[in-house]
Amino acid sequence: MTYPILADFGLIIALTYIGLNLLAGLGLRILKPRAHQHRLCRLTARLSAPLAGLFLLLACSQSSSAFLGLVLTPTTSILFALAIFIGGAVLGFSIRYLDGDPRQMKFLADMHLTLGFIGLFMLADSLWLFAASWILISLSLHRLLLVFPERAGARRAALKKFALARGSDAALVAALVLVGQTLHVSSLSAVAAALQAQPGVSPELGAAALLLILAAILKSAQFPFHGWLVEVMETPTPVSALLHAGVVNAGGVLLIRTSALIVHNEASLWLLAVTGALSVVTGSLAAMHQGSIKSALAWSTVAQMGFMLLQCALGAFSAALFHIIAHALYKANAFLSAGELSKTPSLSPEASGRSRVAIFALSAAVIIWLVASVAPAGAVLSAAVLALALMQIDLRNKVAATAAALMLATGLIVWRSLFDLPFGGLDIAARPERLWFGLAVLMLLAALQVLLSAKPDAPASKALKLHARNGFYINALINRSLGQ
Amino acid sequence: MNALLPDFVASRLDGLAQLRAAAARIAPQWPLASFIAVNPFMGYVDLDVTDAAARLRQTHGAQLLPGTSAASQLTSLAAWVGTRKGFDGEAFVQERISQWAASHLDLNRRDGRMSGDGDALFAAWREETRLDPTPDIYGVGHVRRELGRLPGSADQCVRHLLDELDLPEEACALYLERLAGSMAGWMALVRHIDWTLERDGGRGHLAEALLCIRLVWDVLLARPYGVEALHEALQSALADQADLRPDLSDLEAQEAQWLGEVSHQLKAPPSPAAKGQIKAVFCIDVRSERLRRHLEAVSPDVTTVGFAGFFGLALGVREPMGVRPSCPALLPARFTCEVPQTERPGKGLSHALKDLKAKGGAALAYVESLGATSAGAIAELAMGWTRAAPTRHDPVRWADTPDLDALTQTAAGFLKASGLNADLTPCVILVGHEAQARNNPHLAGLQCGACGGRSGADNARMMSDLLNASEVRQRLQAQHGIAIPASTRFFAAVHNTTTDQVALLDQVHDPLIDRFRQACERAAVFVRAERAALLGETPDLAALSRRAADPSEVRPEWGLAGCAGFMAAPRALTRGKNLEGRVFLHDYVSANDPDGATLEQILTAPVIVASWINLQYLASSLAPDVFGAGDKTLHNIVGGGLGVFEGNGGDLRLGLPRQSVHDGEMLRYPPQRLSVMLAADTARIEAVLQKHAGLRHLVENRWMRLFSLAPDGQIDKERTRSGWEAR
Repeated sequence: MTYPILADFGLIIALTYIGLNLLAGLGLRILKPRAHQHRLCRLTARLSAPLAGLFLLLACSQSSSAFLGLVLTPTTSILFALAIFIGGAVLGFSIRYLDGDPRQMKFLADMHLTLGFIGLFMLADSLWLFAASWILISLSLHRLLLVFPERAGARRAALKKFALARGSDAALVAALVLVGQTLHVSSLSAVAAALQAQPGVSPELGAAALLLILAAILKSAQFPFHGWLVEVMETPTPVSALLHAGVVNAGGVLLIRTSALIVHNEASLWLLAVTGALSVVTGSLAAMHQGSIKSALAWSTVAQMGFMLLQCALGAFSAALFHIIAHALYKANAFLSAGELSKTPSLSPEASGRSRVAIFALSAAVIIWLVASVAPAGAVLSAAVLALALMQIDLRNKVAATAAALMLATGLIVWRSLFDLPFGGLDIAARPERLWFGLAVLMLLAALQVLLSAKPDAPASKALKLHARNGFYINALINRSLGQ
Repeated sequence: MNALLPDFVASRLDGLAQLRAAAARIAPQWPLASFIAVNPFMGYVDLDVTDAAARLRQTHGAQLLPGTSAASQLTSLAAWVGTRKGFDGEAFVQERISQWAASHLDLNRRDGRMSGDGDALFAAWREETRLDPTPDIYGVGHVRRELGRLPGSADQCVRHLLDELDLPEEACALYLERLAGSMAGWMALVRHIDWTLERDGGRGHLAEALLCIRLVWDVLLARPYGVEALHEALQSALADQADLRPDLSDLEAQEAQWLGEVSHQLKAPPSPAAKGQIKAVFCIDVRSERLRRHLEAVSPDVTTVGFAGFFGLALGVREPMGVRPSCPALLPARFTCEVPQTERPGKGLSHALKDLKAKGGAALAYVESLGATSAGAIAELAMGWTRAAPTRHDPVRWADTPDLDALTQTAAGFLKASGLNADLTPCVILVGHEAQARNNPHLAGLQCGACGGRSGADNARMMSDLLNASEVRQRLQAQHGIAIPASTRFFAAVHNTTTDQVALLDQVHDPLIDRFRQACERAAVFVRAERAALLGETPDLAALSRRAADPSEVRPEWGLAGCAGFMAAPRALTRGKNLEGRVFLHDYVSANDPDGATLEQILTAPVIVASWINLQYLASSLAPDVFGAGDKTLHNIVGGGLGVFEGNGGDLRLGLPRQSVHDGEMLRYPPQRLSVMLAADTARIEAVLQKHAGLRHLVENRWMRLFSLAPDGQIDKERTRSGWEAR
């Protein structure tokens, strides 16, 4: 059942909300007493949650509509819901968080602008609007990275981000120009239809697919282009939350929106799979060994985005979309509550019982290997990471461990099944080799984690921890070449 | 190198002693969970405040006083090499040490890394640094290779390297202090272990080992340039000491103005003493002053007493991470208590799940399975709904069989020192205090410092239970001659300094307690009005509760900002006088203290702690870049709660966040030194000063000011370097 009229209304409401954000971004400084500025921000923040609920419902109702270069489909609707939801939380948080700071007004204005552009990006259908909002997000974000321009670390991270963002802009624009000219289309939604009409993919379209994938890799801070993402703690926490829960998703959103095209370039998909897998391994290992909470969260984003791109590379676009949403909610909250001191230490579990765990992991691997031939790629990949998590569960408290394992498994299965109801159609079957590759990489990660926890004092473990903590020296190399 | 053997030996011995002295200059700083105020200049109080300011300018780059801006921080060899190699050498070494220390000292590891063993610390660092290729990337890979050729222990390394540098004694001391100052945060953190061990009669070597690590970096980095180049670099740096003339006049003007206002208050006739049936004992914390004043004003039933908020009970509380002291840092915890473990069913589960987030690849499945559960928290933030987490006061009990005689002695000490050994009313309430905030790494700094950065509730409860116990009362009578009337009952309560609510810890139905509750509610209205004005907040409970419950709130309350005075005097002198929440009020009646023992105790414990607090605020206000923790919006918790970074990295930050002293436009209170006012005979005070050199240093070297009060309560004489001077 679809309700186009609802979707039309939805788009109008979305446009109004985007307009409110952009207007607030441009006009906040006109509101003179600070209390008025705060009231306006509170309003945009408070509107976000019910509106997010509305767009979630619209997504579930499978309604769609398009006008003014925007499109409301279940995919864009749920992405828009996510963007404004996270944006509202970040805005609401910033009202008190930066209270009193003379920079607050500019900060809130730039935050509104960025949120407006993100909203636009999520709904954009016309190629030029898609590219323009992609670029504008990054430009307004640049201002947010420099809230403390006097901090050398902030300037360095912003510079790196700026350079990589221009690279991804160039790749995206080139790709969209190629797509538009080759297929004679002006919107993303027309791409899939046009591709169906013409069998076989021209070299131009192959190049466009490669460029799109490159743009996504750069945008989602994939190893080794992750440097800026793990260094942006030089700007207030809400910006980190927005970046890690909103902006880095743009790469994944791009691939999901252009999925019909990118699946035609096998070589590029391999590039995507390898980059994603590399980011999963390096990001996960680095996150485990950071000395500070925000660095650990940042490295974990690299891994999570890598996993999401790996899902895309396997054609599991609904899984990728789900991962974007789940990760964004989790990571936004994790950053915004990073000031909470944990009362109970998370002690590394004793080495004992680790061999059992290794056996368990092996058996899990075999099962996954067996089911891999029948189940869809996204489900297999999720099953694999579930096994990876299960073997890490602290076994000292048997009851709690069992309950945690059950909860983890049930949660994952229930959420994923529910999500596949409206979004399962996004998946595009891909060749199985990349799935094997993905599974092998996850096995490697599992093996390394077993080594680290079972033999923490072995020379290899010590070296691995050191290299992981230093992010495998990519940032040191880049910083040195920047002359710092 | 020096070829002559006798000189060689002599300078070697001196070198190690000098390194130890330089390490001891750094004041300790506790991890976040027990973040108590410490005098950041603890190691410099043997110098006059202006000399110390000049020295801190050179060694830490801190501009504490006007007139110190002429000279800059001394250069280090790392900085010197960095300039030649084209990178920031100082930041490079700081980052190497900081990242290693954050991981090595992580609080989530419970394997004795904080044991005070300097050689183990040094060996761990050396092992790891030899594996780390970062120096090669920066073109200084020789450091790793030369590291293998250094002697084995930290002590030997120090001797060897200082010998190589062969600096004159004073230059060497300055140079080593400069190195310590370049990583003052980490030095302070490990110093808290060494300092605690020393307090308890032991000895720790972590700070020395860390300073040795910094020395190794410095010397090894510069080695390829030859000893002559080294000397040249250091000599020119040491010679480049411009004339420093630190100026105290800003502080003095501020203090003069404040003292004038206080004198004016003290001149007013005191309010008549109430003959109420309720005595409420409050912590001396400056935040108690407002509540005490209004409580006495609204209710004739209540008289208040000021005493350090641990109520004399050196408590330790057993927690998952070990026994945490719930007493002033000056004392070791003597009596251990614990919260009876009621195993809540969900606790193990949530811990097992939370644990997975930090376990690399496991976080991928965690997110897919449970990530969406964060939606509730996100909605809360977007809507601005604040959920006041009720502060729990789980009843505590003794962890071991209590030693009743020792406890009775402690109780007797408390009763005598607080003047509660006589004139007991039927109802005595011990009111601890606590602060409430969410998402605030420095929350412990707002809690009761006398309880080790914890809530004062446990101490209030244990002490009141003790004083109600019949065995203890019998012993008090028999062994100490203190008779507590059978009609007298002790109660425990806690004052929430963020919301100014006072809660009784146990459900009691007693007419006097009901009256006390009502009085507190009425008084709190006035207290909130005073505090809300300073916070720019609506003066009501809802608004202040919002601050306590809002995870985005960076200023839940002003804490002890503005603390300016310490008064040990009978309450009669201060009752009804508006001291604006800026004075530590300790009850002291000199007539009841014939041998001066109580005065000595006050001067050597609460006064010291008050000066620590005052100097911490002063340092964080005057030199926020060095002695302040920086901007809260950039804070990044390090090593499971060792401290915070401001941003990605750098040194562990010292002191208080900018938001604790600054409202965004200006400092909340202009800094001033603590003015201690004692209603006691100057000869008495002088006797204590002569006995305690540390205290004398604080006064004579102008770190705090000391006044005597005349019997009528007027500020009478000031103790200066040259003696007692009439004002």
